[in-house]
Amino acid sequence: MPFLLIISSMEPTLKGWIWDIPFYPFTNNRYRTLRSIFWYDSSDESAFEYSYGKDFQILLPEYMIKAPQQAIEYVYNNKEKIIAEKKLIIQTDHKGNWTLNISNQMMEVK
Amino acid sequence: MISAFDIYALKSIINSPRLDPYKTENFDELFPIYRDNELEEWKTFDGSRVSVGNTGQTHDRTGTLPHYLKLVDYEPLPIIPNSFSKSFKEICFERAKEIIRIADGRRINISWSGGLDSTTLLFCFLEIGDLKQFKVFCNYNSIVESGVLFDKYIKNRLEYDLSPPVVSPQFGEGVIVTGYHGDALFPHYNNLLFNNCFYGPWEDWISNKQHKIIDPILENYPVKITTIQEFQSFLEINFKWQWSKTFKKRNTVKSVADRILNFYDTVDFQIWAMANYEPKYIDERRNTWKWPERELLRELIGKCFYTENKLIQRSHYNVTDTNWVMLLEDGTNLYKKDLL
Repeated sequence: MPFLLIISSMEPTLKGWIWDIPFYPFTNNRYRTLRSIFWYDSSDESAFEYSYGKDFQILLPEYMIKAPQQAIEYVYNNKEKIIAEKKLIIQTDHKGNWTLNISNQMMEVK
Repeated sequence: MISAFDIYALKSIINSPRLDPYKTENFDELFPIYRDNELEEWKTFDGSRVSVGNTGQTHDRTGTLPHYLKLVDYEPLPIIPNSFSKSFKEICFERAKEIIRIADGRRINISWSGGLDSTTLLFCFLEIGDLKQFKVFCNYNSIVESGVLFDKYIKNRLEYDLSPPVVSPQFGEGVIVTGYHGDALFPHYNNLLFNNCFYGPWEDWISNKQHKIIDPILENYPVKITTIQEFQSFLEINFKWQWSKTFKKRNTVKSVADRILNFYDTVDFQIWAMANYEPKYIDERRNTWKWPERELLRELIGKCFYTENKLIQRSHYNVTDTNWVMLLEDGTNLYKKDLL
């Protein structure tokens, strides 16, 4: 499901999938792993109830992640494996650009 | 435990002749005390940085145990007055008014993490200030952490900057207000709960070896310590105050650092915290921690899921240059590359 960013007076600011990325560890070239992906709706207190108290680290709306649709789909289809194996797939820079780097080789292994 | 890598990196820095100008006269005597008693954190979570000087958390404000490096001047401990009648709420509003006065019409940039400390100060400002003067800086963590607060109270009322995570915001002109020292006013929650010692005498908390260091310091501390909770509060106010005071200024350009105001950095807040004038929590439930902040928020925005259920948790993550070593007396920064 695509992420929706809506900032208007009526609509929630955040409604959609959010990626939770660990602060540590990260590699020298600033690659990180994925911890979880969850749904969030900032207008809905029950969504807060679902998420509050969790040890979230870096929360990133999915729309902010630069990636081909195929790579995003790969992550969704292999989420458990990617998380369990702590694959270094998300790279950031000092400007706050977040890139999902899934190699063709990785997708073929699936 | 200190890993072999950390010891190597630490030695490289400590033994660097370039560190000599920053060492105190008694360095050789003092440094082993800090090292052997693990009075400072020697590495960060990723293990990549060795903590030297004020990256650590031990700055004895009683002056009993000097630091081994020439750090930024310590703020002395406040004198506890015979009578003190200010409530947490009164101190908060006095501080908000003071910052508005300091800003003198300039913009007040509020660094909002979504946690209790920064949320409390934000709503104090909104209660008494001109909304047009404020700009809120936050990221997606702030929104998720605070539930509906952003949508309900910030989005359509205030100017804001929703920065991507792990990027330092560009605050622009005006003063910058942080929620720092908020944590230092309350005993460290995790230490109490995770070690299953919420109630109990403080003497059991530390080792005999550490008693030799801590006991003389406590003799010079103006408040008598009995429980572990009071001891934790002592650690925050006495040892971590300077760490907390300088945290946001580290690795920051001086022209920006000079405009940073930590909201809870006042003498009155310290006196309030040291002398325990109001309960800081109700019991070991995590949603009763920082009770005075919750009560104030209830008054300002009404009872809501946030005030009743917000749990104490790590509120935000900071990116610090792994090459950073210490803040110098003149307010500039020292980096590893300057030493090695």
